[in-house]
Amino acid sequence: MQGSSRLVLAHFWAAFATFAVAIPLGAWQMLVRSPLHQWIPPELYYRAVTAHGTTFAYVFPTLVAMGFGYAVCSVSLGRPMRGLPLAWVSFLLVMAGAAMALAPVAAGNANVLYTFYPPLLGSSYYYLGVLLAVIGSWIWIGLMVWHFRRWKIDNPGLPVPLAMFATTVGALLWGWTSLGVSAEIAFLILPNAYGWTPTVDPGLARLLFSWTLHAIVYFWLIPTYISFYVLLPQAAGGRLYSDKMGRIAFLQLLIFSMPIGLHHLFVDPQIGAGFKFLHAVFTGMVAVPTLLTIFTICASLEIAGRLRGGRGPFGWIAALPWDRPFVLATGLSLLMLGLGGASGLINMSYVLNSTVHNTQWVTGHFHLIYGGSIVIMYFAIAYELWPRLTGRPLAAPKLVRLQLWTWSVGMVIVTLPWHLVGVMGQPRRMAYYDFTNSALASQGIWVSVSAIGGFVLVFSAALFIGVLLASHRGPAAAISPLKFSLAVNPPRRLPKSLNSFGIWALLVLALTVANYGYPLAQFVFLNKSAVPAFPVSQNDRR
Amino acid sequence: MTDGNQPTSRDSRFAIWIGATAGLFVFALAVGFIWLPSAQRGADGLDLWGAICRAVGLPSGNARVSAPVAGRPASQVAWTTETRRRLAQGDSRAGAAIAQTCNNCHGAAGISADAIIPNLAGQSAAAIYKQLDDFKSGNRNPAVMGVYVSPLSDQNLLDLAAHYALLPNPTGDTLSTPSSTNSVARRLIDVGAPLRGIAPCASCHGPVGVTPGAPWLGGQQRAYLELQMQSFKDGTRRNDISEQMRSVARQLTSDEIAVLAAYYSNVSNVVGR
Repeated sequence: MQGSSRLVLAHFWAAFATFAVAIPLGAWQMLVRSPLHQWIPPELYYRAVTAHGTTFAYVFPTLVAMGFGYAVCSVSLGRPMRGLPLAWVSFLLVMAGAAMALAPVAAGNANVLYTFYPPLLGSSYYYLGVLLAVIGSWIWIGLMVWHFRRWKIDNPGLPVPLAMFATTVGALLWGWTSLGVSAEIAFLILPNAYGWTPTVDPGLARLLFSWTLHAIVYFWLIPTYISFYVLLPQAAGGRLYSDKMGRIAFLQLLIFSMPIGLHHLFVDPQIGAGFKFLHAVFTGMVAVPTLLTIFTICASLEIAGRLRGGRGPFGWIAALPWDRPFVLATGLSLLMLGLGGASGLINMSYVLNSTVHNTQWVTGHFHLIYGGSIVIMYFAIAYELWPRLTGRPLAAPKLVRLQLWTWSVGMVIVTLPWHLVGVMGQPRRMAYYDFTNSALASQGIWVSVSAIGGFVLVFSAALFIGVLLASHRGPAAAISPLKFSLAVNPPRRLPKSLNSFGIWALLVLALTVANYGYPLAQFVFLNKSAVPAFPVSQNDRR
Repeated sequence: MTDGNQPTSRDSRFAIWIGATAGLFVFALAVGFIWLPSAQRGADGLDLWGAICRAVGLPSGNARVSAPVAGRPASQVAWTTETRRRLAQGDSRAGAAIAQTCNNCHGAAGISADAIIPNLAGQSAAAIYKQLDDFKSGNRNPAVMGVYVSPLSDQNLLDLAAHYALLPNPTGDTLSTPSSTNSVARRLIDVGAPLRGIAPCASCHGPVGVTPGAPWLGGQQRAYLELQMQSFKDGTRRNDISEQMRSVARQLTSDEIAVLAAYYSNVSNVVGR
C-alpha cells in the first residue's frame, strides 16, 4: 500500500484494541442495570459508562477514520504518502490523549460521561486527554488536505479520485466541528478546573458541545459512506452508478451536518425557540445526502446483480453475492440505517423530540446508527484491507459471515427494546431502575432481552478480533492490490464545484455564523447562566 | 446517467446551491421567528413583539412574571461566587482561638462526647459556615446555638469554618465500596428511591457528587443525624435551600431514618477501616 501499510495497520490495531476493551464494558453496564443482576454502586456504573463513551466517541472512530484516510490517500492517489513522520506523531498524540483521559476515569476521578456537561467537573487530566487526542487528529486533517491540494496541483484539470475527495470532506468536517468541543474545554472547563474562573456557564458549554456533537457522527459515518461508494460496487462485481452523485452527497454532508447541532438542545431553556426551529429545518436537510447515497448504492448493487444474471424487479437482489463479507455487511448496514434513520427523523422533529428526549429511545437510536450501521462497515473495511495490509489472506470466511450476522442481530436485540422502553418513559443515563415496582415491572422483560443482546455483541466482537489475529498470523500469500470501484461513466473532467472546496467552505462558514452566531453571542454577552462547578470526583468533598 | 464530460467553463452549481440554501434559511427564519410567534401570540400573556423576542431568546419585558414568593427565605446564605470567595478567606488560626468556647460541647478535636451534639472535625467549611450563619439569622432554631453565634462577626464564622475543616476526620475521607449492597441504608445512599422522589444521599453528600454546603455525613453522631432527619421530616427544621432535605426526609420512614443514621455513624466500621 505505497509504503503506508504499517501506519494504517497501527491505526486499525489500536482502534480495535480500544474496541475490545470498551465493548465488554457496555455489555456489563446493560447487565447490572437489568433485572438479571443485583444493583451495584452507581459510581462504578458511571465509571464504566464514561470509559465506554469516551472510547467510542473520541478514540475508536477517530483512529479508524485516520487509518482509512491514510489508506485511501495512498491507494486512490497512486503514490506514496508524504509526511509519514508527522502521521506517526499524530497517532502517538491520539493514543497519549486516550491514555490520559481514560486513566482518571478508571481511577474514579472523572465520572462525567463522554459528554462531560458542566457544571459536572471531573479531573482536569480527563479534559486534557480528550483535547490532546483531538489536537493529535488535527495533524491528520492537515495531511489529508495537503495531499488533496498537492495532487490537484500536479494533475491540473483532472478529477480528484472520489475516495480522496470524500476523505478530504471528512477531514474538513472534523476540523471545523471539533473546534466546538475544543473551545469548550480550553476556554470554559479547564480555567474553572484550575480555579482561574469561579463559575462555568452550562448553557454556553452545552451550546459549544452541540457544535461538535452532531457533526461528529457524520465524521464517524464518512468512512462508511466512502466504503459504500468505492469498495462495495467492486466487491459486488459491478460498477458505481454515479461518481458525481457521490460527490454531491459528500458535499451536502459537509454543508449541512454542522449548523444543526441545536436539535440536541431542544429542551434547553436558554435558547430561543426560533433558533431551535431553524436548526430543526437544517437537520431535515441531512437526510438528503443519506437518501442520495441509499439510491446510488442500491442502483450500483442492481447493476452488479443484473450483471450476475438477475432478472425482474427483484431478481437482481437474490443474484448478488451475499457470501462476500462486504456485500453482506452492506446489506445489514442498510437495514440498520433504515431503522435508525426512521427514529432519527422522529428525534429531529421539534415536537416529537419532547416525547423521547432523554429517554432510552435516544440511546437506542444512536447505538443502532453508530454501533450498527457504521461500525459494521468498519468491520467490512478491516476485512477488505487486512489481506492488503498483512500480505496474508483472510482466515475463516465462514466465521467472518457469522461475525457480521451476530453483530447485526445483537445490535437489533440491544436497540429495539431500548426504543420501546424509551417510549414507555424510561430515562437514559440511570444506573438503577427499581423493576420490583409495578410502575416499571413491565419494562423489566425488555431490559433483560436487551442485556442478552449485549452479550451477543461481546461474542461477535471476540470473533472479529479472533479473525483479525488469525489472519495476521496466517501463511503469506500473493494478494491482489486494493483497487477502488470504477463508475459506470468515470468522469474525465469535472466542474469546479465538484472537484474543490473553496466556495463550499465559505458556505459552511456563513451557515455556521448564521445558525450559531446569535445563540453564542447571547451567552457571551448576557452572561446570566454561569454557576459554580459540581465536582464529581471520588475524593473531592469541599 | 449523465456522468460526464461536459465543458467546465460555466459552473452554475455554486449559484444554485448557495441560492437554495439561502432560500431555505430565509424560509426557516420567516416561519421560526414570525409565523410561529404570531400563532403563539396571546399565550402566556405575550404580545407579538414579546413572542418574537422569545423566539430569538431575548428575555421579554412583557411576559407574565411569576409572583414573588411570600415568607422568609430558608437561608441567608447563597452559593454565589462572592460567598465562595469569602469562604476561602477564613483564617483557621483565628478560628482556633474563637473555638475555645465551642470545644466545651463539640470537643477539642472537633469530636463531641455527646451523641446529640455533632462532630465538626474535617467537615466542609461551606457546611459549617452555612449552619453558623443560619443559627445567627434565626433560619435554624437558635435556642442553644444562638447565644454563642450572635456576638460573632461574619469573619469570625468564616474563621471557625476554616478551623474545623482543617481538623483531621478520624473516619477518613472516603466511603469505600462495601462488599454488601443489600442493606436498606446502602440502597438509599447509592440509588435512593426514584419512585418516591428520594435522590441518592451520595449524589449530594458525596462521594458521587458534592452539593455546595452539603455536609459530609460519614462518622457523624447517630442520635444527631436521626434527630435532624426527623426534624426535616416534620418541618421543625427549615433551613435547607429549596427544601432539598425536607422533600427527601418527608418521604423517608422512621425506620429508614434510623438505619441511615446508624449506617453513617458507623461508616468507618462498615468499610472495615
